[in-house]
Amino acid sequence: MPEGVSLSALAALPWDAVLILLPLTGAVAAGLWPRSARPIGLLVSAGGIPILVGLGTAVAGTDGLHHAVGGWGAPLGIELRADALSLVFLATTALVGLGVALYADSYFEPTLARWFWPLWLFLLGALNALFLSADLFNLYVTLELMGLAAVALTALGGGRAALTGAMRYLLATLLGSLVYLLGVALLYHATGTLDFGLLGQRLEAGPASRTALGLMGAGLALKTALFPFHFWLPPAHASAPAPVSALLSALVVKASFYILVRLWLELFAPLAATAATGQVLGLLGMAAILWGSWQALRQPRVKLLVAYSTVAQIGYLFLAFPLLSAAGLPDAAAWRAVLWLVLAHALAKAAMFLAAGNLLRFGGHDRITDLDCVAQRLPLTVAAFALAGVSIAGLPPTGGFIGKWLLLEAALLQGRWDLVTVMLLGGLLAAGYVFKVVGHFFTPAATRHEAQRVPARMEWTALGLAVLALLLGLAPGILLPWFDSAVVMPMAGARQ
Amino acid sequence: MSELLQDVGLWLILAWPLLVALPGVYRHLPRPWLLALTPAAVILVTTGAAELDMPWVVFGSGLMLDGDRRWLLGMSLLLWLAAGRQAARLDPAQQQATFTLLLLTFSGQLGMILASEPVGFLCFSTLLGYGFFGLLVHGGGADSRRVARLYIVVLILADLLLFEALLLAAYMQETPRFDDFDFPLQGDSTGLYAALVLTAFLLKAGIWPLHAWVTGALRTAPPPARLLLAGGPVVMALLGLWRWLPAGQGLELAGQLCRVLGTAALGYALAQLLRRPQPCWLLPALTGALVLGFGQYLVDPTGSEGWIAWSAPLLVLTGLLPALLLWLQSAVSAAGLGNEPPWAWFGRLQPPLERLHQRLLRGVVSLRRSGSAAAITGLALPDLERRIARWPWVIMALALLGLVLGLLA
Amino acid sequence: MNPGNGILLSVLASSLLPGLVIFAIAEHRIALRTTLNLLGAVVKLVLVGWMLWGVAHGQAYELRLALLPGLDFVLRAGPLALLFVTLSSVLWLLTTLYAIGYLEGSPHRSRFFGFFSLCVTATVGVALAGNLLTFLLFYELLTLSTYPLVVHRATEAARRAGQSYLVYTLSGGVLLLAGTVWLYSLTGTLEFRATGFVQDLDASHHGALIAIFWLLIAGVGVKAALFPLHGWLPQAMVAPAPVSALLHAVAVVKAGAFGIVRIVYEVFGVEQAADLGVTLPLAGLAAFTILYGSLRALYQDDLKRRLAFSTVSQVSYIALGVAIAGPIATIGGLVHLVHQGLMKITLFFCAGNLAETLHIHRISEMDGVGRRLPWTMGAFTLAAFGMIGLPPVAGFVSKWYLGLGAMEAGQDWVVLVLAGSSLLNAAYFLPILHRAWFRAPAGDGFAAAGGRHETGWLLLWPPVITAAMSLGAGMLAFIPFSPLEWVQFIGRREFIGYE
Repeated sequence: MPEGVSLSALAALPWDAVLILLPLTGAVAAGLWPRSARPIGLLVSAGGIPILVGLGTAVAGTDGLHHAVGGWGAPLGIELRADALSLVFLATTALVGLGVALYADSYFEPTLARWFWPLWLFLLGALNALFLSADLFNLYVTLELMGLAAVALTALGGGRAALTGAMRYLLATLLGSLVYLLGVALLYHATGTLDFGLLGQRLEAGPASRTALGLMGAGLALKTALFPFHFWLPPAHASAPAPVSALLSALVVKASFYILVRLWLELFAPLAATAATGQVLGLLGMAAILWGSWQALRQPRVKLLVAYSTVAQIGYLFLAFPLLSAAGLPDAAAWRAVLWLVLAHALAKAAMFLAAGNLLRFGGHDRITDLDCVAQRLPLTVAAFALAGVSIAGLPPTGGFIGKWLLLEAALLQGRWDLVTVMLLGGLLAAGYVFKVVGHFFTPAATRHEAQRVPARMEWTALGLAVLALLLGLAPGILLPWFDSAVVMPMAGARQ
Repeated sequence: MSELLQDVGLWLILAWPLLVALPGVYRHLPRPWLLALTPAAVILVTTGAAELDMPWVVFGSGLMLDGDRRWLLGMSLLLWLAAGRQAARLDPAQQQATFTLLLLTFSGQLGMILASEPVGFLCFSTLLGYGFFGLLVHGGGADSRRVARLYIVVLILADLLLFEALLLAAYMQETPRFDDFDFPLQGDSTGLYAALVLTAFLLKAGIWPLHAWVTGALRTAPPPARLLLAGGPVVMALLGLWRWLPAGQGLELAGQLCRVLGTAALGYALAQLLRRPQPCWLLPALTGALVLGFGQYLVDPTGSEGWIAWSAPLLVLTGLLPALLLWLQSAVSAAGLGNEPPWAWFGRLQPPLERLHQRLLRGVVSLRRSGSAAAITGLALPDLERRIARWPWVIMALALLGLVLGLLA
Repeated sequence: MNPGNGILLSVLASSLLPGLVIFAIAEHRIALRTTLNLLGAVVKLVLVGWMLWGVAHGQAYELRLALLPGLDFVLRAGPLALLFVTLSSVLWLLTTLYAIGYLEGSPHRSRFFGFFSLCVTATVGVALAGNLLTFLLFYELLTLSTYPLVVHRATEAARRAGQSYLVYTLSGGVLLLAGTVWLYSLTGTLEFRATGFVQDLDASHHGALIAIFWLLIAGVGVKAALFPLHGWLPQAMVAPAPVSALLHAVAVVKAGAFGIVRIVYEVFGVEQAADLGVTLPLAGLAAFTILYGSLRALYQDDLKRRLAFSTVSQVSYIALGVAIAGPIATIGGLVHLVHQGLMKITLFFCAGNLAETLHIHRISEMDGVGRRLPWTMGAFTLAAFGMIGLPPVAGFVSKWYLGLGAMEAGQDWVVLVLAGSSLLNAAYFLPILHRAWFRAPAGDGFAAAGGRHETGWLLLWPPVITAAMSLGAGMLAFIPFSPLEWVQFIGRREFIGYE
């Protein structure tokens, strides 16, 4: 049976370790040999996809792949774990990462590219490691690494605004990690382990677990920029170079969210006492949608508008927390929708930021009212922005629509009219701010502006990501089972 | 073979004038005017009755030619020939449009005569009515235009009433198609039907007290329109009464009404005729007499059988007599126009209606999101349009009120 | 695999693919673009003709793709769907021809024709949708693909009109989405069925059903320009004439009206809807819109704005016919879907000719224009007569069935509304005709025509053809495959109670 043999041989490869080590090695190499940084960076970014496919085939059909680094398993050693949930996030990272890398290759001048490639590969490695970690402390370490890389990338553009934004971001991310670490310490004290599997068995409802949840939740909410902890996000995302903004909005905020999802689904949700926390997170999510969209609507600049849109979209991700199934467990349908939204939002938001970068490069500014007939001069960029915006606003036939439909359906089945109303209102506001910009694409500005050439690749990558977000809306039949297992498996593991 | 020829001929006498009416065709034909009327003349002199059923046209229209229709056809031919002679004397700049309008009305007139059921009749009456409006307006003076305005209000209103009447009839006979004019009227809406039809056709025929447009047009309209008035719109309206109100179906009340109105109209017209012997009062008198006779027929169908057989020649007489007078007296003396025009009472009605209109307008203003009354009423439309836009308004309100009362009753 | 899959996809692709390709065609390659456009339009027409023949002979076409668990993407070509598809395809061909002539020499034509084709694709999708989700998908796609056409002129006024268009239509879309999800959470299906799919719900859900009905109606009512959701339509008049023609006659307003038909008949089922007590208020709303639109039209001096308010009024005939909930009235409403489309597109073509040939935009400038543009104004006159409902133009047939149906259903007040509307229509159309034909031109008159025709032949023929079609649809109402005959076929096949 050659097929079986080859499959088992594939499964035996340590895909997960490769997925972490390759970017990290690449980062070091790119740092050491700046001249080869570009091919290394592109190669490693592109290499993520075949490796991920390999990992996917290995994971398919199992309920998660565990891999003890160096042969030492839990509770002592470092354990990696790959299951459908991590695959969702890893795939998002690989897709968006590749698009952004292609874009950045044309975007950065050589002096900046020299710094960008090592930092980006470092960030990629940290993200992959985060999504593959199986214990709380490793999660903390990778979270910290990711935060530092992200801050460094934010400051890459130089200039006063970028540095201020980066500084604020640094403080927020450090504070968030610290609070999270406190929670981890508390849990360790209570249970004597940091491994997810063991924690699931030992954790009991009580003041310790409740405090730990509170601390970790608050820290991660801060890093995810959940309202009202979003203060750091708009300045940082708006002032960073366009590819970096795309990475931050599409991937980095999702990493801390990933940890929160893991904690919630595997550890805390089965403890009945946490329902109130879920309600609070849901409320904050609703507030984020309304506040973020409203602020986005009022922004005079494209990048700030897109950054506030991220604040609003993060709100949607938190709407699954208050939804519980009849048994008091997390509602699988709602979580499936949220994971779908993570992917859709990452693709669309990256496309939007890249398109905004094109506009900025083209006109030298991103003031909305002064966008000068760009529809005629940058048709691809305009198409990318509009398509991504349509997905963000949750209009059919895009990925955003499917996610919103699934979430609406879950909320309606539980009679949560407050969530439904906020979601619909948020969609309307999102359409409002997207088309506020799109409307100005067509009209001439009061004063003519000096226009600069935008490389074709920058336009095409933005459009490519936007088209992916669009195609996502046609593919739920293929992808949804995967998302189902991504939700069901961690919960099943928690129940055992 | 001859049947086929008859069928094609029936079609042709309607379609051919329409085709010739296109200015492009008209200009390229030798003696276009005579050529346009030729098929009708040929059909007139051939013998025998013809019938053409067209089940797929509108609501199953058909065309038919019998003895009565032949009389009317002949009258129309004569009148239009005369009108064509008149039109040829007009200012060359106006001739083309006048001929086009004359041919449109000709086709409409023949269609109404030949139609074998009410929907077809209504279709062709549109052509005649709006074409005649064009004849009144085109090349006429300010007075003629004022008359035309009255006429179009009458026309719109009457057509609307006929439409509603037809709906009622279709509802009562429970099928949208009519086979002929002898459709059965049953049910409690018969009275309403009769009222609608009567109002509509009496409006169109210009019976007293709504005769203002007829006498006005006879004084002021351009010569071709003046010639056609009696034999065209008025006689066709009377024909409509004959056709649409089948006798012997409990329409005695309508008959009484016709008798009263006819007598009054006849009396009024004769009185006017004695006071000022002008040809324009002859037509109201004739109309009154015919309506009186028709009323008699409705009240007592069996007793009037003797003279009702002569209805077609009588109609022809009504159409031809005023035209003949006008033809002889080639122009109406301008002296008669100095007196108070017969539609003066209409003018006296104006101020209160104006106020009503203003009030209605204010109602509309409150519906508007923004903008003031001045912005709407101050719209810089010239005088004529404003009034045309205004009259149907007032009359609509009254007509709706009437319909409401009718339906409630 | 059903044999219909290929043909249904091809019908969509025949406008989608040319549209996508046209985006990429350089501005100056006019011949290539025109060829693609016309090829797509003709191919679509042939395919639609094929399906018409098939459906008339009992064939059924259905395409089903899995989209969400339990919810498919369904296209189905029934008689009702084909009514709208045929109207869109025929008028698409004519409007494309017209647009080629109208936009000659103006910038950004590739963009224009690209979105134009997308718009038609969305319209055909709306017509063919076999369940509410598919309907919603194409309905929103229609909103998005029309927006660039509304702002095509790239002026500040156009931007604002586009903004207002989006505010209205996207809000409507949100309401439609809310209603759809809610309905799905109750019934677990969204499949259109001849008798509706809500009859299994017990009485405790009636409150929810009434709320859903109004959510859905408000959602489609925005596009159908039901009062008070009509505000976008007169504003959208800044768009070029072919767009106004398409918006007002075919795509947008008709998608809304068609949605009302689907919702009343195939989502709720007319009997359930009547039981819920929602049809009478809907009829009342439609009746009010009819009178209100006509009243507003009376006071517009801008020709296109007057036509726009006339559309507001006329489209509600369809809603009225459906809401009366009798078979004959529904026949009237449905046939008006086609008739109004033919007549209104004629009027807009003519308005476009006036603007393009003589730069006339206001009614007060139209004195004597009939002599300069006899064919254009002839077509205009015919269509205006149809709008008033004068026989034998198409509008008469619609009004006839509406009135008869209302009497049959015991709703006599509708007859009064129709009468009032006819009077108002006459009051706002006849002055235009009077000006055009019987008044002398102001000043020196109009510049003489440059060529053999009164204007470019691409501008002249489409309105003449549509005017002839609206006359034909009324006069030959009973020949096979006439709109009326087809609607009666729909009545026999899809709705109960008509024979």
